[in-house]
Amino acid sequence: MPQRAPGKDEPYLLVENVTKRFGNFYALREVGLAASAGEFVCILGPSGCGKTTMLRVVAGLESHEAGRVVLAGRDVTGLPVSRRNVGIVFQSYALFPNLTAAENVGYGLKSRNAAKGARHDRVKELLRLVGLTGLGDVYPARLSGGQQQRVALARAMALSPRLLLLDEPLSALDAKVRIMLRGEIRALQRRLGVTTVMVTHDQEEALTMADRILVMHQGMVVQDGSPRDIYDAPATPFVASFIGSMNFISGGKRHPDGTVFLGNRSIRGASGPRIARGAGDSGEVTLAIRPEDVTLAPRQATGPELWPGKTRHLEFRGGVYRVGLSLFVGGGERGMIADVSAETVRRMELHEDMGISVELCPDRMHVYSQAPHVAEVA
Amino acid sequence: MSPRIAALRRACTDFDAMRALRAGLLLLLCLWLTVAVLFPLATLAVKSLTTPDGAFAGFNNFIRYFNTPSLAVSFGNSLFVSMATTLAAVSLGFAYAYALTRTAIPAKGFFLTVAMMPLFAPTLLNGIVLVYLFGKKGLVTTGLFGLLPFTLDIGLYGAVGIILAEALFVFPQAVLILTMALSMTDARLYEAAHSLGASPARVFFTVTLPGVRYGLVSACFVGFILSFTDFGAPKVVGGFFNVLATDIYKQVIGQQNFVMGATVSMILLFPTVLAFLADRVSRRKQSSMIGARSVPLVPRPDPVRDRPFFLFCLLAALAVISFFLVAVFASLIKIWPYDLSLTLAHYDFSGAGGGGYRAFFNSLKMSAISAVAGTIATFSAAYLIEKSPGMRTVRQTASFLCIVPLALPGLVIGLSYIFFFNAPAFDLFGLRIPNPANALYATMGILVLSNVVHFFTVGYLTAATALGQLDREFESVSESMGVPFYRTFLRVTAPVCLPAILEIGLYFFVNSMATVSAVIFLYSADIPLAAVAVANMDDAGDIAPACAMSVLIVAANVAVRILYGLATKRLRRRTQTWAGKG
Repeated sequence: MPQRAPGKDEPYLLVENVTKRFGNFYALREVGLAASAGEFVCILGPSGCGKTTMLRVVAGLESHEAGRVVLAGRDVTGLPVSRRNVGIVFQSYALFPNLTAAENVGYGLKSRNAAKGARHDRVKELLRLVGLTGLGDVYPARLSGGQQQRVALARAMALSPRLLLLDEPLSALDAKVRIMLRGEIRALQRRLGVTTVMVTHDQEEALTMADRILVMHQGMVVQDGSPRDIYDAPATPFVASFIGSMNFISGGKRHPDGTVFLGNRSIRGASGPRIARGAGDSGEVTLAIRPEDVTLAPRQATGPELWPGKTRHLEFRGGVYRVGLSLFVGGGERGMIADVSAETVRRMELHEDMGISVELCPDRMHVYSQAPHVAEVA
Repeated sequence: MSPRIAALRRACTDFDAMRALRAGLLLLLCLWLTVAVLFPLATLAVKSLTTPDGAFAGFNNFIRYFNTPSLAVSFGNSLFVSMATTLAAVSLGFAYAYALTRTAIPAKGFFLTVAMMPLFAPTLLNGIVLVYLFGKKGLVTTGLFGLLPFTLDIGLYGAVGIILAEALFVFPQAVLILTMALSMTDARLYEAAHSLGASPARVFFTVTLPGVRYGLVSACFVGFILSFTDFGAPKVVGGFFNVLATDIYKQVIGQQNFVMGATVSMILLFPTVLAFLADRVSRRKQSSMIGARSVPLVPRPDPVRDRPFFLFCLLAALAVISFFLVAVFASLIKIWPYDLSLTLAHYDFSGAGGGGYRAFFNSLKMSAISAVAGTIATFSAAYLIEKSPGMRTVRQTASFLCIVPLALPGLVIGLSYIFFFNAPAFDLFGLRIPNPANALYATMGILVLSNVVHFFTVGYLTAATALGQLDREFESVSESMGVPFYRTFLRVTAPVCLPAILEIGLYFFVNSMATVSAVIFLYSADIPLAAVAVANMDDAGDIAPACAMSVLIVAANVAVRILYGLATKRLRRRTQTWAGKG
């Protein structure tokens, strides 16, 4: 089914100010989401952040107290799932155990009174699309996890839905299969051009698959942007530590003229540091830098971005080492980590308790007014 | 508008109808349970608070009951025999269940089957067989008709007989509950205890017993309820030892004193409801004890432990089997104990009252209808309650109403049905409301209805458990594809739950065949019933035909059980094609 964008600038899927309560608990607090036609949007967050509830609201499986959902130019708020024409893949797949793969895929076609021959062809086509040709007569329990997942996907696509909703579709699979299916689902979605919303708690999944990521935390959307944006410019310490790893260095100061100081040195680069929204014009700030942006140099090296430090422990991770460091700042000592290539470790002959210089590139640094929550860093 | 959109739009409006249909069915369920359970119960309660003339009496009936020594003594008697029964049956049941789950004895399937056999018989038969064994001319009492050098009179009639008969009746239920509790355990707990050097006795008291304590509590309450409310056994072997259940019968049938009958029913109901509530609480706790990551315990052979348990199971199983053999034997003896030649004369029934084969076939018919109606009712109820979106309050109300029947003794259901269905009209604050339910009175319909209600809860819980194991999202998936709920129900839900459905059907059939307590107030002369005939023939002294009729009931139940076994075997073979095994 061809999908026309309703208006020129209007998004294909629009969720506005949705609030959902369970008793006194706010599962969703005025959340919003906009997706243009054919876009792949990931809702990412830790368990309990409200992401699945959000998906169920979009699907029409969950009622909500306030806000609206607009799909293809039509306000579908209050319409049940059966009237929204959405395809859903559930975390458990919810395949009917007593029906074959083909019968599962064709389950919804029957109710649309499609002719038997056409139905058969459509099922065959769908199975081919997900790479299950020849497995139509097999019952779900005999299929591997990855194959079951594909059946669920084919079934969700059978009625050419306006919107494809994926609820943690890969979480039940082995790591290897997961990585393979990640690419396959994305390729299929591109080919069919179906607007897709996927819920996941796996940041890698979101970063590799999505056109756009919504990071949710405690029932609210904390950041909405492309995977690059989210990774390179995390809006809050929470996002910074939830996606990838982040070093937080407390005790920074922001002067009224806008300059950021760590110890008695000002941090200033060509384009950074990046000041997060909400960081005040002056006062205490927390600086942050990703482990891969921390570079190590020999102790005797000098330069404006170099800080004295000491290695504490080295963790072998294959191609890289994760190095625990102490950074000496204004008489104090701050713990941080750096990801260093195995080649660098060999070249510098790094070992524990070795004096070194640590380079913190200002362009790669972030400044937050709020300190990260202890649990969030871990 | 393209035809496709038109079709879509039609489907949409259908779906509003679907939702309304579900909501309507749920409300209908609540309404039905209210009319079939709560209204009769209310009529009974009102009756116990009025004088025979219909004037308000307050608690005078209850005061009169407890001030009449001949009546009040039954209350104590009932409490005593049911506690003694519970103690005996649960102790034996625990040892038996322990052997089946925690030892490596052979023939566990056989032992379990044998232990379940008493479920197929009316409790009247328990009494009758005891009479043949320990009665005045009993096999044991006379020392195998004088073959043995000694005789043994245990003083059957009274508390001893009732406790023996009820213990046999409660035993299978105790075994069922306790095997369930004992098999729900985590092997890791035992491995941890052993690795810490705990002795077997210490492991038993610190791991095993705490793990099954709620199961034990539940078995005790169920045992108490069953023996406290049973009517069949004390009817046969009670003698002059009165209990509440027989008192109700005597008041209503013997003296036509409906008011006192209702009063005693309320007195019977009170401890039953308390025990029922306690059981519900302990069951809920038991189910929350087992974690999803538990590893099942597989007992390893240990001759020192296994041999005594095997011997115990063998003796218990032999006792049950010989019990049924005595029943068959007694029904074939010409004149016990004087002429021991075999005859089929007692299966003729023409000389005895009770209705003979007409009663038997009526019972078959009633049980078959009850099985079908009960299965449909309980499974649909469970489906609507478990799988309907939203409507929390209605679903919770319905679910509560579905549990209520379990707390109601058959006698209470039977008596309350007389009051409710016999009334041509109700006077409500001077307003005369004609009673449409009156049309059912003295029909097959009321018998079936009383059975469906009497055994409703167990069927409902079985169905709810089976449905609860299905993926929660089946309904969401279907709805997202525009498939109406009834199609998914018929094409997926019901086929997947077929084993549970058959089990519910079997349960309804077997219990409807064997029950006497509810229907003894409700059958009419036109529709005699087998189990009632047993009671009436026993009353008239035709004990051999009564025994023969009981044997027929057991035979019918065993036959249906075998059919069920064959059906599930075929079913299992079929479901294996989609279960990934085999």
